[in-house]
Amino acid sequence: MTVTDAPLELTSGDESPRRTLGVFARPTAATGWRSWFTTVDHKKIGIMYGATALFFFIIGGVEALLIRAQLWAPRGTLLSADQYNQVFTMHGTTMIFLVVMPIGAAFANYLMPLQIGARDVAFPRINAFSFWAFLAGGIFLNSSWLLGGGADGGWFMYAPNSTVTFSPSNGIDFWNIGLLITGIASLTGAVNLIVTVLNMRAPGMSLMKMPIFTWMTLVTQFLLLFAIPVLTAAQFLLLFDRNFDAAFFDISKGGQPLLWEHLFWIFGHPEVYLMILPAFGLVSDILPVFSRKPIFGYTFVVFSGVAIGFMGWGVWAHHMFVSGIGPVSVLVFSMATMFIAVPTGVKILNWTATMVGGKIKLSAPMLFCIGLITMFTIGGLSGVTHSVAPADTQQTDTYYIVAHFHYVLFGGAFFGFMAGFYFYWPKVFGYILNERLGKANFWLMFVGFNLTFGPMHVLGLQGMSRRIYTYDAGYGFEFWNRIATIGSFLLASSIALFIFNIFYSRAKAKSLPKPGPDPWDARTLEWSIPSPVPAYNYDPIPTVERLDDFWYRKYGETEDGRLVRIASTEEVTQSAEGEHNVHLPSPSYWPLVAAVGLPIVGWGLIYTWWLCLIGGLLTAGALYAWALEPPDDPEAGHHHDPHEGSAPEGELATDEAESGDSEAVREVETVG
Amino acid sequence: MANPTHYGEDSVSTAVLDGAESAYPRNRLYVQIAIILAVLTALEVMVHSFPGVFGGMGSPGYVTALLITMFAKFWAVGYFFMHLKWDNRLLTRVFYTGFILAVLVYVALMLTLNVFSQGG
Amino acid sequence: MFDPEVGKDVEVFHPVHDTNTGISNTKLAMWLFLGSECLLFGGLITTYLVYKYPLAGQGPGPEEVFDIPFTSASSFVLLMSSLTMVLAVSAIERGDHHRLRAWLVATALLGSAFVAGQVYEFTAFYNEGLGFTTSRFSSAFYGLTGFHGVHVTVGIIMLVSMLLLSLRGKLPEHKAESVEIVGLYWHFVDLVWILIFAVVYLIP
Ligand code: HEM
Ligand SMILES: [Cu+2]
Repeated sequence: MTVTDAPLELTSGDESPRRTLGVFARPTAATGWRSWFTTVDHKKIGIMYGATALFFFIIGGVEALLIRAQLWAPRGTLLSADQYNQVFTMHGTTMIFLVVMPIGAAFANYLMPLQIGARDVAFPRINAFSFWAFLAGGIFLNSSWLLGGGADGGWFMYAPNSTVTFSPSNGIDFWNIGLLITGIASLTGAVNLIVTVLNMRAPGMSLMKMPIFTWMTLVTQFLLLFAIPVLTAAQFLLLFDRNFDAAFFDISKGGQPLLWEHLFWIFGHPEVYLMILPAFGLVSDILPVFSRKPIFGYTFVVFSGVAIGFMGWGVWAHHMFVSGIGPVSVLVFSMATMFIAVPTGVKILNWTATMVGGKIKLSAPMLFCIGLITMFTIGGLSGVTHSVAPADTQQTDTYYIVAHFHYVLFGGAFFGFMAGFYFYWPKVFGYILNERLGKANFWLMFVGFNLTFGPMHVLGLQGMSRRIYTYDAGYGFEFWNRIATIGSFLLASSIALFIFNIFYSRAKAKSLPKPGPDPWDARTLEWSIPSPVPAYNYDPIPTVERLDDFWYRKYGETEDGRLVRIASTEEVTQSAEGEHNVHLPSPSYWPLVAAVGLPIVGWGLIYTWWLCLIGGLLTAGALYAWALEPPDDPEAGHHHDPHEGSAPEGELATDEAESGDSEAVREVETVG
Repeated sequence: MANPTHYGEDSVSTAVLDGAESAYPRNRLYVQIAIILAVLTALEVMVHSFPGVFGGMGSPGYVTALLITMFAKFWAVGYFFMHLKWDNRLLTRVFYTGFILAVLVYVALMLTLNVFSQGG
Repeated sequence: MFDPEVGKDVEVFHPVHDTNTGISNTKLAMWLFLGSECLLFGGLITTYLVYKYPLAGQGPGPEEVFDIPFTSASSFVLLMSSLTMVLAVSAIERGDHHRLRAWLVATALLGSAFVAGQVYEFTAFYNEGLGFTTSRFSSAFYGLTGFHGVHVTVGIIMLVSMLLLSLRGKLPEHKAESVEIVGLYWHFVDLVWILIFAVVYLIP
């Protein structure tokens, strides 16, 4: 294959395949607790994202309860003003960066490759790294509680409050570096998942045949790809200011606090959309199942999602209406914000139209979907009221804003995730969550949610400021605060019920029949494979002919448009039985090691530089070992096709060229 | 850079140099582009040395001239050296989406911060 | 070797990518990453533009410290390193490992010259009273150009790694793409400098 046949002293042969960094043998465990540390399987990684996010959800939830307990009555004394600042800052940061975003990532990781009929993501090792870096960042952020207190500047960390002068503890350093680390995780994850969607779809799966969740994942990851670096840039400035005495936000040197606000919200608004879009995707895939109708206006739903993705870049200054940006800017951003409500409204209309005339089954996932549609609509409407700048001047920095974003984030994103949990639980874990408990879970959450955040509309319009650790009696705040606090404990108990349901249903499941591949009579590809999903996902890789292909393998239509069953579930689903010779990417230590180095660098930046050195060497060493380690281990014992060669370009691709082979075995190439 | 083999650049038929689309450009093209880039850089320095020609240091003419040469260089490196000319269009789109997005939001930021903030 | 996709003997190995887009995963990933980097550098360039002038009495401003002839020379050096880089890619695609190594060395050297120039420049500025913390201008200037310098340094490390791989015989033609990917990164760093040179140094 070389051009030259002249003797080259140092010929470029093939690499020696298996040595990683000389001494270490490659991890091989595919089961057992150890396998989780070295896994590169997108499904395990997805589960770990979800579990970690739920763990942080509990931490963030406790912080929320502390806030509500403090506000139970006027002049509360549970928390000092300083503690209160830390608690609400860490609450917001945790919920956004360590809960909602990672749950989105959990679904994206687990589901998206299944929905496009792939064996794994494009770069399985990078995928593992993304998860570990996210976990490392989360631990780093929360280590501040043990090391002198959390950040206290609010989740948007406005300058100059965030500078050392006004916040001398290390809390904000932890916030800053912690989020830089999770930012790395999000960025690598985004690149990985975008490549996966664009490059690794099963034969026949064109973009416009992809399930909507996959579409929304694509949009979400593009938003991350472009939004995260804006935050990173801003965070560098803050890092240099706090840790190296730079003058970026030093007012005496002409630093401009508004620069931070702009950079933060240029990131921040795409950020709020990238938190909601995965939930929109889930709902768009679940509603049709329980309405037994295709999604109404697939193209509209897809393109409104894409439109939201684009328009989300042009509205950021609506968070800054009262910061003195001038009438022209206020006008422009106010108009733009009103317009962005349009594609959002389109989605709501499409979902409603999907349900209209459908055979609706009010199962737990469906209830949560309907919860999302209604609650998000309320949040969207209050959002539109903020877009009217004169009105927002009254609302901004009051509890009205708190009400708005909890309606969209909890009532929207989190209800969608709950729908996703209930819906996909059998696919992921092989047992169905108890329906009755699920419904109770929904109603408890629904009531608790509305009791907690509904009253905040009133409080805000009455003028109660957000982020103030207490209030005085006599302003009419007492009653609604009490309701909100009661509501928050109901909300917490609904989460407890969910966790109980997980264990209860698992115990009960032993005596119940297995749910099988397709317990809900669903529409998308992931329901055509066994539950729980085998390591190799699909064998053989399916060929897709139309949107909701799986559904139309089960159902046909009569001439007058009625559905008729044309094949039984067994006929159209894959079975885990029999021999499956699929070569999968091999596990690796290095993603974990590389991620462990990052928080060590972080602690080093705060405390002592030699820790930076250790952490940096660890990460750099791991990256080298990673680069030298071939993506798959030829000795891994799976069947290996001789003519295929060991991953020549080092990447994972389903081998479409071989689809003509009589042998239906497909190989997976990896580098990630 | 002594090359013991008899295979200079010119002995390879370009038709087979790339599986992606058509032939790879000859190295001659690369060198030509590099010369153009060098000339453009020289032009930039000239503009800076004799700003009067374009209406004075910092004048609209001056800034426009420099922006034009800057983008010309930017485009040429991407198009030829980074193979966007020959590679799949998708790559161009992905990259320029990021680039144009960056230009748009950051220009808007600067306008909001410095120009439209009067009278607020 | 015979490539069924092309249907004739090819002398240069170019794997046909079995992906939906026909682009290899790694190349697509690199381009996505570079698109993302645009917003990162954009933020820093914006910061610089906003903070271009220090408050009165807070140390020298850009006009007082910039040495345009010197910076023009180092910009030229970096620009030429893009040429050597692309020649390196071209070499490995032809299976010309000697030239690959030569061009890699040349690129790394030009890059190092650029970084050395930057160190010299920073030292000179420092001696003229422009420390990192002196003014908003100095923070923004060092922040931006330093960040770019770090990118160049990372690029040099990658080039040297490629060189070592090649010397140890671990960079066969069918891995030509990894050189190309490193090249993309390298050219991007050059692209950013093209912007910085005009926007930061030349336009007042
Ligand atoms: C119909 C679409 C929406 C509109 C028109 C809208 C509008 C707004 C406006 C104008 C503000 C600023 C209010 C102020 O601070 O004075 C705001 C705040 C906020 N919005 Fe929305 N919004 C919409 C949807 C969403 C969605 C989908 C999310 C998240 C999933 C979201 C999350 C937030 C958050 C977190 C804040 C508060 C940020 C903070 O101050 O801490 N919004 N919204
Ligand atoms: Cu917003």
